Amino acid sequence: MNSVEERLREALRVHAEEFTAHPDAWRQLTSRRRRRGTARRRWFRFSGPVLIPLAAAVAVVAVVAAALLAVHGVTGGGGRTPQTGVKATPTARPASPSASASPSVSPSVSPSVSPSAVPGPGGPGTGPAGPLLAMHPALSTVVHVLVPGIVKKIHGQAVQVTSYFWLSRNSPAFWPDQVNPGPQLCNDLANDSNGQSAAFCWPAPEPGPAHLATVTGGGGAGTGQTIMVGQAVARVASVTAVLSDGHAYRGVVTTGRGLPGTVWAVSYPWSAGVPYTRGAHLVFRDASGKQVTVLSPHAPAGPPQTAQPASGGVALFSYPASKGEPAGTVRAYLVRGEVGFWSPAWGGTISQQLAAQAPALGGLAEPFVFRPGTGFTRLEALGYAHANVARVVLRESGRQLAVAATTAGWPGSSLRLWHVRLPLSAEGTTSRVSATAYDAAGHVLGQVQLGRMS
Amino acid sequence: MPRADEHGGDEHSADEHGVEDLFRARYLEMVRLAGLLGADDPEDIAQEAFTRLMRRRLPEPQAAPGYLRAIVVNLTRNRHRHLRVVRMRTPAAVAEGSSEQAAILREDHREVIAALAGLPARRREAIVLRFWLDLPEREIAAAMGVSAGTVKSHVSRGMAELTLALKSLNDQEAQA
Repeated sequence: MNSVEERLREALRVHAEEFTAHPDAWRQLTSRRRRRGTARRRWFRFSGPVLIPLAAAVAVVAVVAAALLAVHGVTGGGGRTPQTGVKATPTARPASPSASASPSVSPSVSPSVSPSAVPGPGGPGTGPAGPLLAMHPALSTVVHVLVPGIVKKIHGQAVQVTSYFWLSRNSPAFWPDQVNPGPQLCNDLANDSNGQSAAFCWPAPEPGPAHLATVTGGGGAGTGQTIMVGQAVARVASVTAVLSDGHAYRGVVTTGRGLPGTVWAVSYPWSAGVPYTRGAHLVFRDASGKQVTVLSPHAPAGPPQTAQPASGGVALFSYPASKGEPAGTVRAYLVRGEVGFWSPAWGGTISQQLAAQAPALGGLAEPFVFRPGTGFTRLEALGYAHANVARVVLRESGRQLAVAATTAGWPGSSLRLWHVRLPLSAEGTTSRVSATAYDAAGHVLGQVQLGRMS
Repeated sequence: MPRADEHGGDEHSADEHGVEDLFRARYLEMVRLAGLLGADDPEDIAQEAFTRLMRRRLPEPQAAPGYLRAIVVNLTRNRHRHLRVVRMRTPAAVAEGSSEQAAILREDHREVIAALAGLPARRREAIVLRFWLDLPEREIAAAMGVSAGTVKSHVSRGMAELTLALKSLNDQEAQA
């Protein structure tokens, strides 16, 4: 195996994971098939004697037309014509007229949640970022913007991505070993069409002369486009992404109570053949149109890594070195009532789980699937359970995959731990695997779907 | 050898319940295959592949994954042709290959994926099927509708082009 092949395999593996399936895909497929069947029956019932000869005639005309086009060439096109200067294209048009009208803070942007309020329907608290908001409480209003310029459609419906922002702070009490206890800007990019969400908190240097504008995150949210988000000084009123080919895409800027400056979001196409991200510049202007600063956005490398807690870990299992990944041990930690799992294969990331959020009867809280390295050598589900859970059964579509007996967790704690290997064939379908908790007498105590961490 | 049928087949011949198990096991893989081949809407292609499978009566159930892969490869290829025509008419349309891409791919991955996207469609198909799905040449040939020898040629030439493209990119970065 040479290095190009290794790079290729790894790039394909990582890139493949960016493609996700709609959670309701099976229902959509069956309804699609029924619609198709109905349409076909109607076609044959009414079309037979008349339309089939007509269709044949049209086909002949089409062949002739195609031949003529081939002879005379196709006009009116000419391929893509790179533009110079900043000029909005049809695909770059913001979704909201108010977001595109002038370089001012968009009136379409609205504070949605007060710091003390429970997020309402559709807000980050009800979506996948709910735990993020719980772990990183908002110190500011939670503002949201509709990301402009998203052109993708899913199943005929236009995709809409909402970006939520709030300021938070890493509490030293949350993880004592957290390396970054300072302010952070939290963001949830929520694809309103399919429920996908990318939620994260990022270190946020206070906007000022040294940090006129900062990229604090980004993602695709299943849109096939690059979405960049961040913060800027208060006088910034507009953001525009200008690509190397001259195309420009207008973003949206807003602010909210408690935010130190403005927050912004911008989106532009990401083509596999044209690495737009490397060629893009983000131009920030004030209300008069004067340029404030320009950034060359490099995708953030990832949130700051948390250090492994110095003590208190319970070793769950060890795994051997495999295909370039070093050997390691997965450990579970209980820190001030919160459970986390740590492994060097996750780059030192601690996944935080609030034990208090587990079902009252003693069920499970979002067990993970662990997959070290790139070689698909081991698929392991792990999690914790409350005191009365004796075993955990994993099933997919009603079929039993594995059974794990729980073991004692931390001294003085009533929590228990479990892990079990899954068949490698379950890779890719783990989100459909359910975990059911049983007590020693065989009573069901709770059931959850497997979360995923890889 | 399963053969991709672009025109459908016997309606109501496949058991919906039987397909559901296959769907649960393979749907995400088909979405990802379409995505890696550069489809602009991978889910739509994967759904269409399963829809066609449900209209077919395959000689044996084991042939279904190969049939699905072949349909996904064919539909993605046809979609590329369609997009080329669309772009000729509308220069400002969404760029080719934009699909479920992530902005936060590592730079190295992005370079490799960009280089892969620059390969001719057949070579890209052969490489994705070989190095992502780890399929043997026989099954790649079935999915692409070509001979095993042609697959070998596509993989070999594709890797050579990929290596060259990545080397060229590295040289450019070193000069910069």
